[in-house]
Amino acid sequence: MKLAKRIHHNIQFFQQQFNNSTDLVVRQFTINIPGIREIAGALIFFDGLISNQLITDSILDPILHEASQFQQPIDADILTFLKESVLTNAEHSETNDADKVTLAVMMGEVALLIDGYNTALTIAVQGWAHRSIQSSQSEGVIRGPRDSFVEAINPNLMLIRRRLRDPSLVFERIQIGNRGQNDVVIAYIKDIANEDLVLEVRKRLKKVDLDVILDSGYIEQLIEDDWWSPFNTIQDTERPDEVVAGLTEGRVAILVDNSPFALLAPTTFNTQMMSPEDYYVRWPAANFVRLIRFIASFVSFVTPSLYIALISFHPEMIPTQLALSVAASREGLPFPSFIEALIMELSLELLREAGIRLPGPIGQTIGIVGGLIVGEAAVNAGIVSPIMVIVVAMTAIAGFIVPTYTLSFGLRMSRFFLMIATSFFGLYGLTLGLLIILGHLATLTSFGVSYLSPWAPLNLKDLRDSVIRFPWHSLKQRPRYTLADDPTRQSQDTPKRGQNKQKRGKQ
Amino acid sequence: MILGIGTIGLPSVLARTAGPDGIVAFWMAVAITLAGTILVILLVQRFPNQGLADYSNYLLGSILGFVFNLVFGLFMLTVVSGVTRGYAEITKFFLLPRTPLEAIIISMLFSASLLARNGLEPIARACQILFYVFFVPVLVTPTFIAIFDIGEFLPLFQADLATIFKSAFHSLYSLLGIEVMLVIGSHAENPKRLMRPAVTAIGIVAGFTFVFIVLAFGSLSVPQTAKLTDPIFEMIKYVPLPFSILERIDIFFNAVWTASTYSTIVIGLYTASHHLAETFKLNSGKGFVFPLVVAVYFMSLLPKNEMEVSIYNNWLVVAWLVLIFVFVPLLLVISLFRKPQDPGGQRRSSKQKQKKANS
Amino acid sequence: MTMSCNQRCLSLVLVMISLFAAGCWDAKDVDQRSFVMGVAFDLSDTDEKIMMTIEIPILTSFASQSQSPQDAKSLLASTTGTSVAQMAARFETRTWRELFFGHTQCIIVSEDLARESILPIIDFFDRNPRIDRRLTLFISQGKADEVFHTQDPVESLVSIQLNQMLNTLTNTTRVVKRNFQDNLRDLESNGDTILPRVRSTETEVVIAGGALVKDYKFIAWLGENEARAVAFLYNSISGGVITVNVEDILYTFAVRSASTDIKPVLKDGQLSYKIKVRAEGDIVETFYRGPGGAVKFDIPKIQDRLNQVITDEILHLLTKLQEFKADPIGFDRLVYRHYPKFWKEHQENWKDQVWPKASFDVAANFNVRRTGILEEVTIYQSQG
Repeated sequence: MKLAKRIHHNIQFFQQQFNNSTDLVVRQFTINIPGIREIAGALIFFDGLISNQLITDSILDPILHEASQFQQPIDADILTFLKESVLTNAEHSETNDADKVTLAVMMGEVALLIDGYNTALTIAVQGWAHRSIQSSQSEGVIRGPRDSFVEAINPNLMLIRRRLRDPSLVFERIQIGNRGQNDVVIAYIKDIANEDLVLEVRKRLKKVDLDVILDSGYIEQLIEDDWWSPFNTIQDTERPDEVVAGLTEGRVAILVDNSPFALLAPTTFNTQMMSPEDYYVRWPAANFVRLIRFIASFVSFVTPSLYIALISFHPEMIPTQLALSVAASREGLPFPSFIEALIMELSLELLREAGIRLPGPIGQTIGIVGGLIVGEAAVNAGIVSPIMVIVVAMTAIAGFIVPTYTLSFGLRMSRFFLMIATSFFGLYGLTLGLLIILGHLATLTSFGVSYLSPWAPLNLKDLRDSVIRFPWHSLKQRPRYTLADDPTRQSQDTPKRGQNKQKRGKQ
Repeated sequence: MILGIGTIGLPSVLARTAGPDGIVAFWMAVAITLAGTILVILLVQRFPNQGLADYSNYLLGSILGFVFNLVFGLFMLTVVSGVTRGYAEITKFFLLPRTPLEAIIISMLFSASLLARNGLEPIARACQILFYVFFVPVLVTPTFIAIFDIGEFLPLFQADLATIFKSAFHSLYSLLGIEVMLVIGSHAENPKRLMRPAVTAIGIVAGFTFVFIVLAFGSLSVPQTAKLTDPIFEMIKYVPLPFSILERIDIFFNAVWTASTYSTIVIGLYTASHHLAETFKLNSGKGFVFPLVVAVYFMSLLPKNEMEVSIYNNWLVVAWLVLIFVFVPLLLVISLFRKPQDPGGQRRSSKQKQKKANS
Repeated sequence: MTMSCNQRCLSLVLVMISLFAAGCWDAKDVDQRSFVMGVAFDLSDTDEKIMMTIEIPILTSFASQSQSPQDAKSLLASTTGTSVAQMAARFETRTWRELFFGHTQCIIVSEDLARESILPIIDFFDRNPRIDRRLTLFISQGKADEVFHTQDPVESLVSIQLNQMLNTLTNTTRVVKRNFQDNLRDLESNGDTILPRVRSTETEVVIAGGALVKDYKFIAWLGENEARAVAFLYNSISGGVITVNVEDILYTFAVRSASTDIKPVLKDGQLSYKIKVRAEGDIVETFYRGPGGAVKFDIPKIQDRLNQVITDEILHLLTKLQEFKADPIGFDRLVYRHYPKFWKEHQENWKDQVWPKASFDVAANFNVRRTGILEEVTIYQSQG
């Protein structure tokens, strides 16, 4: 669809195109330049998407005042004159395609129409209200940068670009969503990221066919490898430093407008167990924390099931004195241990969910009421045993240590599966349940990368950054699982071990 | 197949049949297995990118080949059902005395089939993770020093050769597994370099098993090992763990052993289904897995009691010996006279480390 | 990964069916089991031969909120029968909770029952996969069930107390410190072993001395002094004190570590054993009640005396064992290991012919390492 020459046709067209929506603004004006007859012009834009200040300063003011004071006669046509000499804003483009103009207006640009021209200028003067950059809600750190992504995409790209002043950093913007036309940006570093990976991401994004993308979660679910799995194969993060670290490892990031969560692919189980803080603190501390994290995650994963297995099936495994006191504390309880554990674990999930939904201050109250008062009352009323309360508390505390929220979902759901399996077959059921989960994890891939990498297939070099993190001077290579094109991230003559110390000695 | 199903009872069989010379018998069994491995690999290397079904057809003629392939498929099923039954028996006895055998067998087979359907790569990955798990019991071994008596291994070389051979025959059961290479060996990235990983795999299995035999002999004494049906569990029960949170850890050992049985069954099921698919010239053996599970289920319930289970296992070893030392050399000899054909590379070779798949 | 939806649903349904079809067969919570902490076997006056007594903890008295510590902590139940499994089953007529042997701490067999044979008694426990083989098998002097009747106000359960006592003792060598597994090892080799002895009065239980078992039959007591030699021969010394008299002064030597090495020697068809005992430790006390005087003690002399005492004790025990034609230490296995041919020839008449004739060469080597925080010399100087 091409634009017409007469301006009133065009205005009529756009008014129809936008169904006379009330937030559509058509500002008509007359350009009065000496030596030329007066020409009708119009600005078309949506109220609220643009910055009124910018329109006034960079479009209306120059056109209506400065242009009229122009003394020389104009050689070129009026549109070129306006574009080259009058408008003061940074970014604009010219098109005669009505659909393009429509899209531009919807994205918050201003369309400048001039009578007699079948082309329009679209001028970027976006200025909508967005949240300012705040610290991360779900991935907080003590040591390290605190900024996190916001909903608007441009500040997010800025947060990445600011950290990575590399000409090879590429942002590819595409619009997805039949109705939403939402911006989706593929970010990668051209000479690091594996080309096939970028192609694959692009291919999968092209296939997404949806009305509107409200959050990156939509994209995540539509491009992931296995939609059946309780485990996510694409990582989401709201931390720009995490994204940049991923990019330099050869991963690809996908940012979606209106979502503070960026996606990172490929993702493995290992990458989701890492917190950015692990790299910021010194390596002995990082290793200590990581070890605890891995152990605690496993503990919270199996403790309730282990409780059922030991209490109901194999009490000979509990030390004699403990067995006696556990048996004594369970004396007179109405429910078998499986039901007991199920009740407590479900109420834990309940509390957690309630805590998220309720406003901040009340959420904390719920935690106290639920955790302390109800727990204590349940024990006194003889519904659950005190040991069970300890087990649930351990599960809860250890469960929060998984740094990725999405992964902890998968683990939490699998925990219930394990509990059910255990309730049937005891420790054998627990083992079998773990094996089924392991078998499932082994079938998972994320963009062609094994989910269990670097443990399976075994990659000794990558193991340097898994359960333990080697000191930075031994992490000279990028991780291998991304099949990065440029494997080296520190040149070989960067500070070697002890070099800094020697220097100090000489002074 | 790290801790084959037979491992649990192996020290007992060795002690009963050969006394302290059981160790000699075991290494003889390892030597036999190694010889078998070399034969198998030589055969596989002659036909890169071809499965057993393809080249046996080519070497034996289509009718004979078809029969042979069916028999091999049946053999694989028998192995899987033998392993399943043996596992279920011990689990029932030690952990779940009231749970029906059928429930244990079904749950095990079902869990294994979920993975077996997914092809070789996930299986290899899962087995690799399990491989790390198998090292856990080895970590416990130093604690045995307190109750370990090296004198139990004396006197050596007292049994006559016939006894040792008989004993070695029994221990072959816990070393089965190389036959799967006939089928999945074709997926090797580089068949020429298959020999080393295969031999290493056998070596690792033998090493693990040997550690357990030594520990059982040394810590329980040979007469007691001979008397117990499953000496390794008793031995683990008796382990003097310092600062233990749990009263005993034998049930955790059972978990490790469940894992190893699981991997054995997964590989067995996969091999059988893949082989049958090749026999019937289908693209994928996926559809075969569930029917095979049903077949294995009924086959594993065939033996009526523990005695029949061990007879079943003995026949399994005989079948294995016939396969490896009669059929494989036969195929090798024929292949020397008939030049191997070029399959045209129709089968995609998957990037798997065979060693991992085998273990 | 590429499974179709239908197949997945089918798999899920299959899982559910296979699981919910019958449910959890073996689930039985701890509070629904009776922990049998101790079992005692006596001869019964009735026709049914054996009386079995079990000690079961009363769980409520173990709860942390329990207010009345004076209450009985355990319940004793007895039944008679002809076999152990049969009697264990009969307890179901007394308690709805299933008997659970996974935490059994001790089995006590009375001496008169043990004189018949302990084999039928222990077979039930040997065969049971849930039994913890680190429990203790005692022979009781007198009736076995009376051991459980002792009231110790400090301890909760007699069974736990017995097992704890045996496992934690470090200062005395008057007890035969062997658990069920150790005994089974001996018994399965040649039917002989030495079991710890227990006796009870109304207020206390005492574990001291041992019971010599030959061919699964109890044949003789070993006194508290003989128990030390047993410990040395089993190479299971973990501590203990030895008091020797050197020139009217009693020196008490505390063993810190000890090891025994036994080697068979076959010379001209004559079997002998070289027994080497090495021990080291400290002098913890010098005890002198004489008229007084300067004493400077002589470590080599004390060591000689220690060597002498232990050698005598060991020889005494060995002679006794030979008299009974019993071989609980496993001297036969040593011969089998080192002289398999000789063993083959004499396997049949080992206990009757060969073993009683074997000779011993005992060499003890005691080392006094320290003398406590006092100087070697006793400080007291007599004025007379």
